[in-house]
Amino acid sequence: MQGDAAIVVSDLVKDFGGTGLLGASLTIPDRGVTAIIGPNGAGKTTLFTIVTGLVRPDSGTVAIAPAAGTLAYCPDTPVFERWLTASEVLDQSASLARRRSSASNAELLARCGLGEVGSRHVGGFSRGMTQRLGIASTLVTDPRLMILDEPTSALDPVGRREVLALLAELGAERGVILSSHSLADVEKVADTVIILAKGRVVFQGALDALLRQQERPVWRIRTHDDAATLALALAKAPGVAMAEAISPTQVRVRMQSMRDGERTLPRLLAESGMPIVEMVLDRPDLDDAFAAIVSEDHSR
Amino acid sequence: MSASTIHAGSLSPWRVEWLRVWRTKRLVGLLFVYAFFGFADPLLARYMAKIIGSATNSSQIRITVAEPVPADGMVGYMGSAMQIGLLVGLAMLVSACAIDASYPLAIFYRTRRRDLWTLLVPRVTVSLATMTLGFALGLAAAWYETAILIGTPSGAGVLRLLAAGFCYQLAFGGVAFLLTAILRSVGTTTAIAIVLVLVSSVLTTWPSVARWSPVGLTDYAGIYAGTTGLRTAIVASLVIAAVAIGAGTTIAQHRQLER
Repeated sequence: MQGDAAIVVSDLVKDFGGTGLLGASLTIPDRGVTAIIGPNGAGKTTLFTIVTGLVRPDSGTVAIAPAAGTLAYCPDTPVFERWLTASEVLDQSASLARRRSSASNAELLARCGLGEVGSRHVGGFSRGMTQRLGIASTLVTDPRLMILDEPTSALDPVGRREVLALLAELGAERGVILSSHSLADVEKVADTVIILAKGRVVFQGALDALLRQQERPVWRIRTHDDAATLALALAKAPGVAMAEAISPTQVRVRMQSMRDGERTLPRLLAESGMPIVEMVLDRPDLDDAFAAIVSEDHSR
Repeated sequence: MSASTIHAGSLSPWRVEWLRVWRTKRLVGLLFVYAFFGFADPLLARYMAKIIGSATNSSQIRITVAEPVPADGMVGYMGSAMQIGLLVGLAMLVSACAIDASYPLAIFYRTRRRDLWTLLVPRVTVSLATMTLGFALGLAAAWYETAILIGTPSGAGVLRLLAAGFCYQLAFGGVAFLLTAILRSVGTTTAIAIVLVLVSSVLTTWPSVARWSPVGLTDYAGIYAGTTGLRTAIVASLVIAAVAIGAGTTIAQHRQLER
C-alpha cells in the first residue's frame, strides 16, 4: 500500500464482452475529493461495485488500507424502504452498518438540506431529495471513505451548488470518491481526477496537473478595437504559429511554444503600438482536457 | 465527526420487519383474508343445503345434502386458508424476502451488512409469524362461528388442524424463500409459488407421496377426526422448511449483485 493511499486497484478486469473494466490500475488517496470520470460504459460503476465487494472481478486486485477504515457507497439513484421516514432511514443505515456518527439525525439531515423533512415518509420524496438522503444515509455510518455515484445528477442548480459545497467540506475530513458526467461540477470540487476510457485508466493525477498537461501556447488578446489589424501584424512575427481575430476586439494567438508566448508575445504587443486591454492564456477547462484525452485514447 | 457503536433504540432488522408488515398494511390484509374465511366457511357449511337447493331449483334434479357437522365448518376453513390464504401470505413473504429485487435497495443493504442471514432471518421469520397469526385467528373465528351455527368442534381436532396448518405454511414458506433467493424476482417467484401450491393438491391423490410430504397435511377431515397420522408429514415439512431456508440464505449470501 502506498503512502497515503486508501485504495490501490491493480490490473482489474471485469469483462462484460468488451465493456466493463479491462485492466484498470489506479490509486485513491485517503483524503480529498477524487473524481472518476469517463464516457458512458467506461467502467465507473463496475469499478465502484467491485471496490465495495458487491461484484467479484475476473482478475486483478483491490487493496483497501486498514487505516482507511469503513467505506460507504451511494448509487446514483438510491432507493429506500418507502414506508420509513427519512430519520428512520438514517437509524436503519447506522444499525445495519453497526456504526453511527456522533451527529444526530437532525444535524445530518440539515447538513444535506433535508432539515425540514426528517419525519416524512421517503416514498413521497422527489429524486433530488432521495439523492440527498442517500448522502445522509452514508454519512450517518461515519465512513472514512465515501463513494458517490453521480451525486448531483438529480439536483437543481441550487441543490447542486449546495451538495458540491458539502462534498468539498467532506473531502477535507475524509476521502470522497465521486463519478459525474458534469465536468463543471468535478472541476469545482475535485482534487484528484481519474479518467477511465474503454475500461482502462487513461489519466490519474491532480486536477491542476491535468489542466496543465493540456495547456497549449494559445493566448487571447483583447484590444479596444481593430483586432483584425493586430492579428495581421502578429501573424507575420517570429515565434507566432497563428493569429486570428475572433471578434472585433479579440485576437487568438498560437505561439510555437509556451516559452515563446511568455517571453516574446508581450514584446510583440508592445511593438504593435496598439492599446492592449488584456492578454490571457487560453487555459483548457476540464471539458477540453477530458475530450482531448479520451479522443487521443480512441485514436490509438 | 466521530463514530460510536450502535446501541438500543436504533432501527434493527427485526423492528424494520415489524414496521414493514404494519405500515404497508400487510398484517391487516392478511388477517382480513384469514378472518373472512374463518367466518365465511362455517356459514357456507351451515347453509350449504339451502344454497344448493336454490341453485338447483328444478323438478328434474334433486340433490340431498347431509346435515352439517362441526367438522364441515373447520374443514371448509382449512381448505380456503391453505389455498387462498396461503397464496396471499406467500406473496407477502416473497416481496419481503426478495432482497435483491431492487438493485439500488440491494446496494443499500449489501454494502452495510455482509452477513446477510441477519437480514433474511428476520424477514422470513416475521413473514411466517404473520401468516401463522392470521391462520390461527382465522381458525379461532371458524371455531367460534361453527360452535354457534353447527355445534362445538372438538378441541383436539382443532389443535391438530392448527399444527397441520402451521407446518404446511412453514414448508411452503421455506420453499418460496428458497425460490426468492434463486430467482430474485417477486413476480416470477410468486407465480411459481402459486403453481406449486395448486399442484400440491393434486399430489393428495398419490397417497404414498402424500404421506411423506407436506401434502399429507391436507387431509383435513382425517386430521380433524384423528384418523390420519400427522407425525411423518410434520417432520417432512419441518425438514423441508429448514433445508430450504438454510439453502436460500446461503445462496443469497454467496451471490454477486447483478443489475
